[in-house]
Amino acid sequence: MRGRGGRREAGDRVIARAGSAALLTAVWALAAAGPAGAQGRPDLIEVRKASDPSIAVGIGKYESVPADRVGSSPGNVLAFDLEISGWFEAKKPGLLPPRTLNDWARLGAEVVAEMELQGDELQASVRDVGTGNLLLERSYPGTLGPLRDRIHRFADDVVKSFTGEQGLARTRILCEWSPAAGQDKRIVLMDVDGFGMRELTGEQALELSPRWSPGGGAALYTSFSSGYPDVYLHDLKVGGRDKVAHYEGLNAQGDLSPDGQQLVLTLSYSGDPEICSKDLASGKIRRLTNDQATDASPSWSPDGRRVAFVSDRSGQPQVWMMDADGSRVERVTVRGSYNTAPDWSPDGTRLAYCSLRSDGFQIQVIDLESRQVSTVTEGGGCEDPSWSPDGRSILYSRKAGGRTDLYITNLNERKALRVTHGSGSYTVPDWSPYR
Amino acid sequence: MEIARITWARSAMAAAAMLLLAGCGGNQPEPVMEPEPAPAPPPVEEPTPPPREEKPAWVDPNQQYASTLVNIHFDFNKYNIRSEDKPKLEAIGALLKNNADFKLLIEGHCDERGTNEYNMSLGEQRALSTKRYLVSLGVSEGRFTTISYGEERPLDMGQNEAAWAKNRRCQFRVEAPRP
Repeated sequence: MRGRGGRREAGDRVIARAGSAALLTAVWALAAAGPAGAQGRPDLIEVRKASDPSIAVGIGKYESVPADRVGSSPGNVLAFDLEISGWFEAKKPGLLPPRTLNDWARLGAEVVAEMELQGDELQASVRDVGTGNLLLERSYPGTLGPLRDRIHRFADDVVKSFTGEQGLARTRILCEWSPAAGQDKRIVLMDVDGFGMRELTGEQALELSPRWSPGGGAALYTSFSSGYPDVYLHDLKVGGRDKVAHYEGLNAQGDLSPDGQQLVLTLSYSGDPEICSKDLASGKIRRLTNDQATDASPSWSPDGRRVAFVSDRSGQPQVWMMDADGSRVERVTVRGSYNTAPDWSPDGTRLAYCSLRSDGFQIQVIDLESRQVSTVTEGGGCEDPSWSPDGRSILYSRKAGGRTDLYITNLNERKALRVTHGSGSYTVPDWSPYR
Repeated sequence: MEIARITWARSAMAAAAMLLLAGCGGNQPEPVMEPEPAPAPPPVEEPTPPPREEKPAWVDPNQQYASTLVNIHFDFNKYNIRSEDKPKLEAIGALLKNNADFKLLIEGHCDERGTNEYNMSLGEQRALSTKRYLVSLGVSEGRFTTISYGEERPLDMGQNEAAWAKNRRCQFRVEAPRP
C-alpha cells in the first residue's frame, strides 16, 4: 500500500491527533448520546488530510447481524464501504477472529469496528485498538430502512467522524451491462458495491452511455428502441421516460448541465457528428462544434461554463474543451495518439480520461491548471472513467481475463477494488452524486 | 336398427308388387305430353381470359443483389473510403439508379478497440462518408439513412487484427416497397 512505511504502533495516529484526553471524553460522550445528540454538535474525531495514509480498521464482531438479511457477509459490506472511501484499509480476520484488542493490534488494526443487531436495531461502534476507548457509537433502528442500507449509513458515519468528509457507501452506479457475449447492452442501476443490480427499462433494445442527472433523480442514455439511436431522459423515481433527442442520424452521449436545463450531446443531423446543446424548455438546438472531424463524449464542467469533449480534428482523438457556447476551444491532451472519454472532477480542476499507452488503455488524470498528467491505473484494458462525488476516487471499466468489470481506484492509495462479480460484462459506468 | 330393417323390407315388398302390376300391362296411365323445350340461348362469346401472368415470387432485393451489397472496410480509426472499395460503391450506386424505389440503409461499425462512445461517433462518420461518396455518384441524398452501431455489433468476436479488420465496416441494406 502506497504511502505506508513500516507498521505503526496501533492507534498512534488516532490518539495522538485526537489530542487531549478531554477531546476523547467529548467524543465518547457524544457517541453515547447517539445520532440525536450528534446532530447538534460537531463530531469530528480528527480531520485528516487527503494525503494521509489510510487508517487500518479491523472488521470486528458482527455475528448477530444475519447475512441473509444483508444479502452478503455484513463484514464484507462494511469493509468494502470503508475501503472505497479511500480513507481506510480494512483488516478482515481469517478463520480465528481476534478476541482481544491485542489480537487486533497484532493484525495491524488501529481501530476496530463492530456491529450488533439488538431486536431490529443495528448497534455499531468503533474502538481504538491502542487504548480501548470508544471513538464512535451509533444505533440504526429498523425505521431507517433495510439492514444493508443501515450498514452503509454506519460506514458513512465512520468516514464522516474520522475525516469530516461525506462517505460514498450509499452512492450508486449506472452502467451498460451485456448479459453474455454478443447480446445487446442495456442500462443497469446498482449500489456502489455492485449489489442490487436492476435493469432500467426491461426492453430488448440496445442501450448505451448512461449518465446521472445532476440531482441523481434521473438517468440520460441512448437507446435503439425506435431502431435508431435516440437520447432518453428516464425518471428514476416514477419510472417514465421522455425522448429528448431523435433527429436524423446519431443522437447519443447526452449529459445534463449542472442546473438541469441544458443537454449536451452528439448529433449528426448536420452531416457529421457534432457536439450540440439543447435547451430542454425551449427545445432549441445549438451547434457547439463546426468541423468535419469526429466529435464525441461531451461532458459539462461542474460550474456549467465549460464542455469537455473528444475530437480527432488534430488527426487523432484527443480531449478538448470549450465554453458552453462553443467559443474558446482548447486542446487539453497533447501526448499520446488516443485520449477519449473525459470526465470532470467534482471541483472542476481536473479531467480524467482514457488514454492508449504502450501497455494498453489506462485511466489518466490531468490537472487543468498545471497540465500535469498522471496515470492512475495499471495493467491496461481500462476505459470510461467516472469521478466519485468526493473527487478522491475513479470508477472505470476494465477488461481482464476474459471479463469486463467495474473497478474503483482511489487516487491516493491507487488500489483497484473490483465492484462487479456477476455474469456478463459491465461498461461505461457513471458514479451517482451523493444521495 | 331392427326397425329400420323391417321398414326397408316392407318398402321392398311394395315395390315388387308395383312391378308385378306394371308387368301385367293393365291400366297404364296416359303418357303426359312434355312441353317443347325452349330453344337454347345462343352461346355467349366469352372473352378469352388473359394467360396467368408469370409473376416471380417476391425476392428480397437484399438477397437478389447480395453480391452487390457487400461490406466495405476501413483502416483503424479512419473513415475515408479505400480505393479498392470504390468499385463496390459504384456498383451500389448503379443499383440505386436502376431501381428508383430502392432506399439504402448504411450501417457504420467499428472494431472493439477504443472507447465505446468515440466508436459510436466514428461508426457514424463511416456511414456518412460512405453516403457522401454515393451522393457524389449522382444518387439523391434523400435515399439514404445512416445508423451507427459503434463497436456493438461485431461480425467476428475474435481479438486479432483479422477479426478487427472485418469488423471495421459499413454494411448495406436496401429498403424497397413490397409489390
